Amino acid sequence: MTVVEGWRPVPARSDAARSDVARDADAALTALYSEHYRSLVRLAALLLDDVGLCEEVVQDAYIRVHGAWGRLQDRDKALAYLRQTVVNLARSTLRRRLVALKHAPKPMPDAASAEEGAYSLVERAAVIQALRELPRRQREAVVLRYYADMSEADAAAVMGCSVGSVKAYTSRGLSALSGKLEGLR
Amino acid sequence: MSALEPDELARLLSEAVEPVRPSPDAYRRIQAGVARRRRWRLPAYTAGGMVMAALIALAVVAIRPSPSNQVVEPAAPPVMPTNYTAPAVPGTAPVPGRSGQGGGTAGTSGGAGSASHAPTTTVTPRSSVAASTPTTPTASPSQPPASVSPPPGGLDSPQLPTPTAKPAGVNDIDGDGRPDTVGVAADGTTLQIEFSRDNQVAKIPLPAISAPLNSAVVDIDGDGFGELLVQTRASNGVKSYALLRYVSLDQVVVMALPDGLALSAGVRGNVATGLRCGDHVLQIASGTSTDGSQFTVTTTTLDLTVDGLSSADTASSTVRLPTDTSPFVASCGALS
Repeated sequence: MTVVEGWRPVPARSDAARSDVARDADAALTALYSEHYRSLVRLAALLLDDVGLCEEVVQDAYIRVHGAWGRLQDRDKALAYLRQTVVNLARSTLRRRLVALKHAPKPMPDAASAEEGAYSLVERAAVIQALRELPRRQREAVVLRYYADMSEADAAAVMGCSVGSVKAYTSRGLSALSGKLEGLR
Repeated sequence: MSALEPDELARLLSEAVEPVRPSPDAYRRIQAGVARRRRWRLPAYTAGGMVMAALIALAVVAIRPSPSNQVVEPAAPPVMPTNYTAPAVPGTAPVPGRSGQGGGTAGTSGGAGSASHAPTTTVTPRSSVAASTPTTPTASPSQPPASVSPPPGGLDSPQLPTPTAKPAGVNDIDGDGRPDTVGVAADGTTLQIEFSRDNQVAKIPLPAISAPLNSAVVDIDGDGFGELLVQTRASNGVKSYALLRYVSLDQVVVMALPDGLALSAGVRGNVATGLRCGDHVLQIASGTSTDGSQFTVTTTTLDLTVDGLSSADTASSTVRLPTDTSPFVASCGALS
């Protein structure tokens, strides 16, 4: 079970306290959206295969965090909780779409800008494709460690596994990606 | 193959998702989702609580043992209550009738040889030759079959087996669908009935029994148990009869008639009697004459119910003999 530190049940609050919590949640939601929405969508994009789906996952994570704001003990770790929610929702989505992903894999729809060259397009598609071919755990470990720039401990907390497992997943994933992306370097 | 450097991988990953742009209305969608969640929170919690309560109630109902799972002892067959009372012999104990009540009033019927006594049945196994006396009534057979459980009222309460057919079949007294055997003991005054149900033999002492034995089994009341009509004697053209009824397992008793009535058939001078079996009734005709030819007939209809014989109706008529059909005969089953 994935556990975020500081996430504990708290006693029921009065109506006035609830109003304060709701106001705090709204403000926190706005702040989290402004600062982290884009990065979270990109994180989800590395874990999933559909940008539209990524946005749905991240928006659902925001809504859940907002709903659980009153039960969140350590508000400073809201981002960690949000990130873990995104990973968990991405897992659930992938689980539901497992068959479709296996039988009809679609390339990442990269909305390339006009100034990017053809080589960049090929490189991005290759990275995404190589990442998608990794096992889920390895893909999560690589994305959390090298894209989200999380420590091994944080990545282990988000993934719900030990630090040693994160190290192993990261190493294997890095090795596999090296082989797949050899031609691009 | 050179290993991919972490920095290079981070750069590749960043570049790969760099074109991903959030939709401009993302924040509005989140706010709509939050509002939707708030709106549905209370109904969802209410519905969830109701579902939980229903599940708990179902679990309680499922876990609680139902009454149908409890062991219930099978009840004994119902006993048909009757108020029939057999006439008692002075100095004897009450004779249990169909109702299980002891003999009450001492009924006597006029006429020599008529059914004026109610001897008790003494049932013994076929191998047993134990004598029975009217003064030592025994209500239950000496060896009751194991299949019969004690009735709810106790061991002294008689019970009737369940008849297989209504009305009873030919010569079927005990209601098992098979004919029973009626005979006379060596003393000439004890009637023996061998019940086909359990091969028990009931011995009923009578004042007399005509020889050869003249009897008939008729299910007068249609209860599935045949009533036994036995000619006891014949004197001066008048035949006397006794009516016996199956009252409980392996037990028969002689039925008492209301006062002033007798089971007899025949003409003796200016007095004549007769009997006829009808539908649930027994008709007794008593005739008197002044010339020995034209008789004034009083027909008493007796209802044969679970309570015994009771006078239901009386009718008068005139019969001239021998031109009219004589009512002064025994017209009951094989008796005529």
